Amino acid sequence: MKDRIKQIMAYFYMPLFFTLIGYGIVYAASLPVLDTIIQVGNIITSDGTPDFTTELDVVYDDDTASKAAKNQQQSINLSEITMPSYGTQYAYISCERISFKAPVFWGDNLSILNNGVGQYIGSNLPGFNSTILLCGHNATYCLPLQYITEGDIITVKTNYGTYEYEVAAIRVANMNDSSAYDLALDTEQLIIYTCYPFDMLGDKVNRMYVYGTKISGPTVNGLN
Amino acid sequence: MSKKNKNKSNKTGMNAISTIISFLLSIFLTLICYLCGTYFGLFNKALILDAMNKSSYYESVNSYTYDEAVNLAIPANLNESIFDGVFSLNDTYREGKAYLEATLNGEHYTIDTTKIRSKLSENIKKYIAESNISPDAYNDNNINTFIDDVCRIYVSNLAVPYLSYYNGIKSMFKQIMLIGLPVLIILSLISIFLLTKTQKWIHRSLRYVAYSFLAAALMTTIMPAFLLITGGYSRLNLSPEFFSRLLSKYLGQSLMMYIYTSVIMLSAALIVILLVYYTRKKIVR
Repeated sequence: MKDRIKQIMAYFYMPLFFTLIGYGIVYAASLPVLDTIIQVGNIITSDGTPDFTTELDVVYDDDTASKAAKNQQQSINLSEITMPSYGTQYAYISCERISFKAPVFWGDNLSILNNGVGQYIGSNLPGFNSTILLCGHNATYCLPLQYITEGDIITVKTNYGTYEYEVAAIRVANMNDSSAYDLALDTEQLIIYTCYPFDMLGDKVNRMYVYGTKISGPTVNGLN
Repeated sequence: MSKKNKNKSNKTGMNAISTIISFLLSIFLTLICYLCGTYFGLFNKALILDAMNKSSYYESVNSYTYDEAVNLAIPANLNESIFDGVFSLNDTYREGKAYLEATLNGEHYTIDTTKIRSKLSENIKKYIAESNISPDAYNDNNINTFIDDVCRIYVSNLAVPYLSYYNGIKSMFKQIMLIGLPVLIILSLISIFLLTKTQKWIHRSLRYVAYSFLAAALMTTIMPAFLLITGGYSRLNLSPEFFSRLLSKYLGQSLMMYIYTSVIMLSAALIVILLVYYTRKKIVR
């Protein structure tokens, strides 16, 4: 009877033993690449259900922006600024004379442009002494830009200060013309562009660029 | 050494050799299971077609294309109404299936956008006429470029990404199967033959064969079962969403193939265990 039980138990522990040895060999053989496999797995999978929604985030707060504008100083430390992530509204842009107003998002995908003005993430935030490159749809938020002229004042409100730019130039250029903007400037310049002509149907090859020179707003310190 | 001790030592030695051969047999059988599971799972065209139907792939392509096209229409000063009746589900299904079957057969297929172009062109003309838009506000070039962009989006969404690499990988795997499967079968048969020679009684040899089949069933089940239970394959961060869903469905079905092969291995193990019982009974009688 004892022998029979031993024989029956063998049908369980022998396959288990083989499985442990087999997987042990596979584990040992894959040790050099195991970390890479796990990292690739972590990149292509998420912890929970993947989020494919195109909801946008907001860090811009009107009250905070108004308080910052009220207590505005000449300069502000970089540590006091919350850098926005892609798809986050961080500012509000307006030009009173032509009733141009729109939320400003960090990033410029289609979802962003449907909800406001987008910023090319290779450019800089207001106060960073460089180029701020914004874009928007000519048929929606940027429609009023068809009335903008040199000398108009564009206001950009952020949580850390309010910036004003005077329109210095307006130019129409081909969409592939890279001379229309310079991201390596060491003076602050606001550039907004949109499709041109405004009322033309179909795909447009030209863009209208509005160039604004900074006239007020705190400079960000601590940039290297 | 006494005769009794020598016999005992011989028996232990033969059992050790049988265990090693049985372990090797379990590895060969596991590899056979994984090869067959991969061929009938991952490289099974029918599973891809089935996954596309079950993940509502064609409906999602239409819906996603519509949304992208509307986004394109906004800066083009065109209304959403120009897309009424443009993306037909029947046409999307027909073209998508034809594209998929041709690509899986290694053939080239160009997705037909003629109907989309003509319907969209007709709708745009209708929109221009109804909105009394001045002839200065449009030209055929701009409209045609817009229609080209919409068709490009449609084709890009309908064509399953990375499918062109599938055939290349499948033919490499087929080469491995053609050589690997017969080699593994031969090695398995040799192992079974050696097991019959290392034991005095046939039922004892068959026990070791049963261990191998059971181990192969277990080794084949563990990884796919782990992935199916934890659901890691269904949390792919790939966009668009409909492609991620398609891949999840397809991978889930492919993983089940390994479970089916391990069930076959388990059934074989049960048959061998029955054979052990009957051969032992014969000897005892």
